[in-house]
Amino acid sequence: MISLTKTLTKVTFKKKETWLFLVFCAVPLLLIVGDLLGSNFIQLNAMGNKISFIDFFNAVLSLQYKITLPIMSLIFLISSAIHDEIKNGVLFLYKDMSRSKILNSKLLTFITILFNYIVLLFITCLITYYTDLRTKSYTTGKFWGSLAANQDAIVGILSLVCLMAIVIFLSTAISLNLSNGFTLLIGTVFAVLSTTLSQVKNIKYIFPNSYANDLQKYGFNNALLVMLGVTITYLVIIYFYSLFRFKHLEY
Amino acid sequence: MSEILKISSLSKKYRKNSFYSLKDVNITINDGDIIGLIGKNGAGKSTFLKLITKAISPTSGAIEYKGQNIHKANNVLEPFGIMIETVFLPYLSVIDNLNFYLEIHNKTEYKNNIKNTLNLVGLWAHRNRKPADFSFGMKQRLALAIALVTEPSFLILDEPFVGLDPIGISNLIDILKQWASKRQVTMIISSHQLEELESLCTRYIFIDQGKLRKAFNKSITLMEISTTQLSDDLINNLKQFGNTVEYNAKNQKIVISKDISQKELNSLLLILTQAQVINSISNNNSQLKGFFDTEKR
Repeated sequence: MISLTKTLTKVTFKKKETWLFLVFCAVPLLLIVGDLLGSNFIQLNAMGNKISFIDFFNAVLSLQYKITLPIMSLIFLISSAIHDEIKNGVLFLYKDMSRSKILNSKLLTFITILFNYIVLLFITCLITYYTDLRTKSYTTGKFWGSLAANQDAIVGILSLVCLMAIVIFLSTAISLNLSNGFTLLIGTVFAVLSTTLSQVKNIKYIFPNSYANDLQKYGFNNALLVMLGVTITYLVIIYFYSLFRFKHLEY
Repeated sequence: MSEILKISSLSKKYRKNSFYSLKDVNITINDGDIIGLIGKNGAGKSTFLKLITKAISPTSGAIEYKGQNIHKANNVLEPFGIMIETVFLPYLSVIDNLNFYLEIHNKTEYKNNIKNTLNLVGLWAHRNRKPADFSFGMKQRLALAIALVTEPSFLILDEPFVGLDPIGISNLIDILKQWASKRQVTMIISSHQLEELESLCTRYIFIDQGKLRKAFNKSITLMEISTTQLSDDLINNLKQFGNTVEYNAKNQKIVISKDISQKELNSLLLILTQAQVINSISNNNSQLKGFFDTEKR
């Protein structure tokens, strides 16, 4: 499976859809461009406490998730890698390789691409923060902030990574049966709902990011545990559904 | 020849249909057979091939490859080369497509075959191009290259001649014939191009309306000569040609095998002409065409 994952990852990086997703990692660099041009087209403000790098990274990741464009391009990549390959008979190339091996390798490939996205975004944020923002009045110029702020940022970042992982699994499951349009629609709706409903009483508990919003209430360790527990529950249910569908797929 | 593929009571009913696309097909394929799969459009040929390649599951029945039920294990089709649809990854170049195929099956030792295989299908010059903007024929050839690159011992080809020019067809037939004899490759070839099938196949399976109507061996008859009553001397004279010439006194027909040499054929025709016993000569070049003509009636 490792060998198959390596090959699939290698070829997936040759798809335009992958680079369409990864190009969003360059967004933080626009702050530098804006400053160089003396333009106000992107501005940051911090209320109260100044922001450390980890706060900044959390804010950028959160913004990227909320604007949904990167998520949509990720969903599009997944549906093209799953649904289009089924529709076009590309599964014939795999002959009768274990379907679970193929599915697992594809999921690992998407997780790898997400990991690359996080790392690249981290790097561009580092560049932006330390070359440009560090001199601003609303930044501390330091990597870490106060303990509370760090915990808030870490839980925030992890909750967004969890949400993206859920989107990957969900998009994979949907694209086994439905067209690219439906996959994009349902995946995007989930992403939007996870942002808006995570503030709504009672409903919010089904979304992992709501526990990051209530960090004060749960405490750092408990918030992490519950958040991971909710995420794993989603992933396990969706995974076994996907596996069942894929094993019985006819093309 | 040993039995290699055994198909027992194979049936397939798609969920959306009320009828069976394939019903109760029973056939055994031996090692080294080259099977021509023939039938009208919608007869069930593709369903048959998809069941063997496990793209779909049977509603009932079983397919055994070397004694193993193929639907009960993975990687049974490892020695197979499959070309059912024109499949490739459009965002990879030709050569990268073949590399991809070899890597996912852990058969990188066959990377040395890539050049020869692409030369065979006439795509070596286009190896660095992406197939997305290829003509249909070129896409077909890429799919064929993928099927052939690992030197499979069992080939499943669905319309392999479509898209090839006459030289390409001739080359492919030569290679497949060579593989069949030297490497004991077993093949199932579905095609509407009857002449090409006849030059290759040893057996035929005719599928019609989801059922296996007929399975028959390749005819070895070159021609049939309808004659008047032959004298005993003439009948004895025919014995010099051995098994290549057979006289049926009941039908008053002389059946000449394709194995007859040119010299013997001319000698035979000279004897019959001099004896003035020939009524008519029928050319049996196209067994399949004749078969379809019979089916039409």
